[in-house]
Amino acid sequence: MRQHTFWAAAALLGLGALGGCQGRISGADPNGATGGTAGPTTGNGGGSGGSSAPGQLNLDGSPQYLRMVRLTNAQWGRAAQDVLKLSAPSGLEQNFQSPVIGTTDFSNNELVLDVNQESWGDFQQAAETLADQVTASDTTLAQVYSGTDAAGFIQTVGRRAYRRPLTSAEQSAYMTLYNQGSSLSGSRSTFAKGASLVLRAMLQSPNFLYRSEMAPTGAPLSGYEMAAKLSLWLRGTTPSDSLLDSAAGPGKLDTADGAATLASTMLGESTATSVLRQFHAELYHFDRYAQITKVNVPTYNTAMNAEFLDVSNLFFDDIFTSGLGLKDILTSTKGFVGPKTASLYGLSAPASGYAHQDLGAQRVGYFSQVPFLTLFGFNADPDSIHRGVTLNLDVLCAKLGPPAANLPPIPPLMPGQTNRQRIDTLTSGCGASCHNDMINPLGFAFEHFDGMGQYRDTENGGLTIDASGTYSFTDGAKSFSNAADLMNVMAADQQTHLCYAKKLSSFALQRDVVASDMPLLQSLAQASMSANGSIKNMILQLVRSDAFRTRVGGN
Amino acid sequence: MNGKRPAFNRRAFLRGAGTIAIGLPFLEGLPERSAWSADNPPVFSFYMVAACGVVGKSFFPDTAGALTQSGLAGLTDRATSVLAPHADNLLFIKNLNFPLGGPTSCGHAQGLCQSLTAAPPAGSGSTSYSTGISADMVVAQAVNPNAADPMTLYAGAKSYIAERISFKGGGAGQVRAADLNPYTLYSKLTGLTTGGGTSTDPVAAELATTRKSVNDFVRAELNGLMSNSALSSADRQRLQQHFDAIRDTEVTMSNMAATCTQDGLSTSQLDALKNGIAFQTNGMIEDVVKLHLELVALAFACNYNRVGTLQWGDGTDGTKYSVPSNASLGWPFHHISHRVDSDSATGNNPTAEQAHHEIDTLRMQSLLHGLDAFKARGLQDKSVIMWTNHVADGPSHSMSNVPHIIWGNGGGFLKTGQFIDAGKVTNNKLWNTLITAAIRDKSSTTVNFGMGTGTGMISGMLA
Repeated sequence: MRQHTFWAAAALLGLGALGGCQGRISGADPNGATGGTAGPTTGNGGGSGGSSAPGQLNLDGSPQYLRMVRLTNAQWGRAAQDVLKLSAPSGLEQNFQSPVIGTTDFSNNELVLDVNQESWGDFQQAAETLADQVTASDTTLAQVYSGTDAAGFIQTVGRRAYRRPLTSAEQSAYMTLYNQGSSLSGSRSTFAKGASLVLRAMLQSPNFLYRSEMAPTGAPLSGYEMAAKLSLWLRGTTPSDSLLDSAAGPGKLDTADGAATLASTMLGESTATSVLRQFHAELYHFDRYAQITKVNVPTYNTAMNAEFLDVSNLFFDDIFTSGLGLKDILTSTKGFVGPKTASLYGLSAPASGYAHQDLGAQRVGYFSQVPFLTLFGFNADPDSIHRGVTLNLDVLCAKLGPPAANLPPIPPLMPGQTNRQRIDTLTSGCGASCHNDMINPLGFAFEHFDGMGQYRDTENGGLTIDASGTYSFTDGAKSFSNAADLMNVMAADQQTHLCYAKKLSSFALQRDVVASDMPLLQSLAQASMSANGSIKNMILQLVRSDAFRTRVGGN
Repeated sequence: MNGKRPAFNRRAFLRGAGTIAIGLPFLEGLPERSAWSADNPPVFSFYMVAACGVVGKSFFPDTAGALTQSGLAGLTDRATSVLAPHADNLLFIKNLNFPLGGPTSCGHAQGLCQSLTAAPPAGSGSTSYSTGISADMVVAQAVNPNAADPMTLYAGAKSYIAERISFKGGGAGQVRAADLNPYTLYSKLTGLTTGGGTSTDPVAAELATTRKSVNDFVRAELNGLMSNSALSSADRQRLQQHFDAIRDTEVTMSNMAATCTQDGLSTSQLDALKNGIAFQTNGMIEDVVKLHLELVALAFACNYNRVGTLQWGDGTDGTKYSVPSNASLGWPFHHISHRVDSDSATGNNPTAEQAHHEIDTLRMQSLLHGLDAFKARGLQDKSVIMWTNHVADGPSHSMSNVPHIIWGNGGGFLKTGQFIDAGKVTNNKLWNTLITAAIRDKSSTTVNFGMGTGTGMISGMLA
């Protein structure tokens, strides 16, 4: 059971924190009933569905430490392209069975990547399709391998597919397949027919479909295993021929320096930016931007959803490529605006495309930008509860129990009442462990931002906004006066960096990260908190770690 | 055969063969095919679980009793009225409960987990999981050759609670992934279908032979890997599943019937889904359901698989249905079902209730489309098609009196043409009945599935 995952999704979806399920940006019911999320309820409305734990980092999980982890669909697509030297991705992987989502932090987790009958059918069909395509003629086949000798073909292409040289037994087995294929009917050359069957088998081989770690427990991964691990992670594809050339032999990629040097090179490539974009998109649930809906909000239209996604991606791309890190994610006052979002910041729309510019002193960090604040807004009103839930789960990795099953609507905002007072009244019965100590303080920090992320000095007819609060971090309670202050507090707090380290490690190691990983997380958090605490430096430190570089767990 | 091998993908190759029965080489020596004409015919089972409940007061007829075409057609204020053309083959059931009568945290996830397992869920929130195996898996293990996996389908966008109805067994991590895009199943089935008639095709024979060679090659590699002492038991289980998947695919391919054709398939719509993610864009869910149902009907007619499931929307479905009463609201379905523009709270907006009823009717029209497809392939006497919901209604998330619709008599085992009151029993008794119907050509074992109150079957369902 993964309570933290549930809450995370709930929050980011704008899910009803109080509702037993999700939430989304919601608003007042036209007929008078109040819509929106609710929190664990007041005395007559239910209660918290489970226990929360202030000041604790959630390290629950069930890692399997599999030695053989199946390629993701995206990795399959890129790897097949590079094994066959295709000029463009085939796109076949887009129709593969997708992994179950919502039960792990990331979709590349070992727990959700398996081969079942349906996915096997996908792999089989795709392998046959691509093999037919590249062996349609000797000309197309020459793009895969320039020679016409079967042994050389098997050796060269096999190494790309297996991400290591084939054994003599494997070469022999492929030669048998080649001979069978070359004797088939058809007008293609003997070489093309034999190569076609070989390619079909290579793309269906478990040695292609799974990345393996066969080193003894505690021992460094081999050079080939490290080349594959780094390439599949940071380039999203199988190692290149030249990388495989350099991976051979001890004292290279099986050392910390060797692995880090290679990783450093990869981090400067555009593919790494794409990988980190995927990481942040999954971590902060960017897929939810496409599902934003609002009713009776004149400043909103659904065409803005795509821009929310674009500017979010650009923000994190810039953080990564500029050598910045978590502190900058939390505190940068610069962001991207486009034609549909500029006015929400009170800025002029860029002449074309998106502009990277200062967003104002109130806009401290990503969570003070329009996309996040709009996602977590009930139509035009702030969604304080889910803003708080999201920060708890995705930024602080806090332990939150599940919400109660039956929740009352948020009551209408009364004259003379602030939104904070309304939510406080609703959630006052929750107790100290959930809303009042954990969710509300973080959510209320953003009360100066309405449901469209627009800054406001007062609310509900001129009422003063109170965005101050106190939160119990793992190292003690800390107070803040508003969202900007909170972001600076969090940027200096170890829990925030431990959480980001946990998420980054889970994404890189493709498994749940648990309490036994705490030494790794502490070292990464320390790197993140340092003066040059960039994401790139965190990744390099992670690559150097035993958790990444050596065989951990398993048998 | 001219000996020319087209240089394009397998599906195009197979379809391009036009009226040639490409599948014939796979059919040689197939003991399963004899079951079609034997005294003990197979029963095909398909279980659908829709999202977010129904409007109970305007879904079924008011009273139990016989279902007739004219009678059901006359109930125009009831969503199920649109199913009137199939009244003779329908079995409506009310007062059927899930083991967990009401939600303890996220009712949507908890309801999904119970719908095909008849077991109370564990865990909480959206990550709730089943404590037992699902009925489709039990049936598949009993009737599919080599216990090949059931078809597992999904319509709509995955959102907060995605796949949660088909489980390999009890426990976290046992939920089975589903195919979202109808094109996926279509591309697999197309290899089996013909335009009518049969002939031997040497190219197809070569494809079959070489596929077996590749499968043997892969199996040998998997065996080699599994013999590596460094692997953990979890690794071996993963590879064994992979190994079994190859075998099951082979068996599935070889057991198809010779008479399946593409007639009735919306091929242009299916082809349009080949690339991209249109199948999960908002507003596509009902079209995807219809395509899935067409394909399942074909799959059964081809004896491709004897059991499957369809999750009809995310547990907190975000579809913005274009029904008349939602024009003024503009809410996603989950909010409509809550009667308030919220994912968590519960309201009483009457316009939302009317919109929900209109969505119910729309979903019944999609079901009607599917039932037409099943009937066109003559499956009413050899199948059990079941539709239910993961909660009884949206506002309460109640798991009591969850509506169930069954089409087909399961080879004469079920009594159709009636609306019955199950007497507030739990759905383990439903599944005892449906599993018995599904597997009785293979087994006469007394079925005692799931958990809940009472044992045995629901007598009112039996012929």
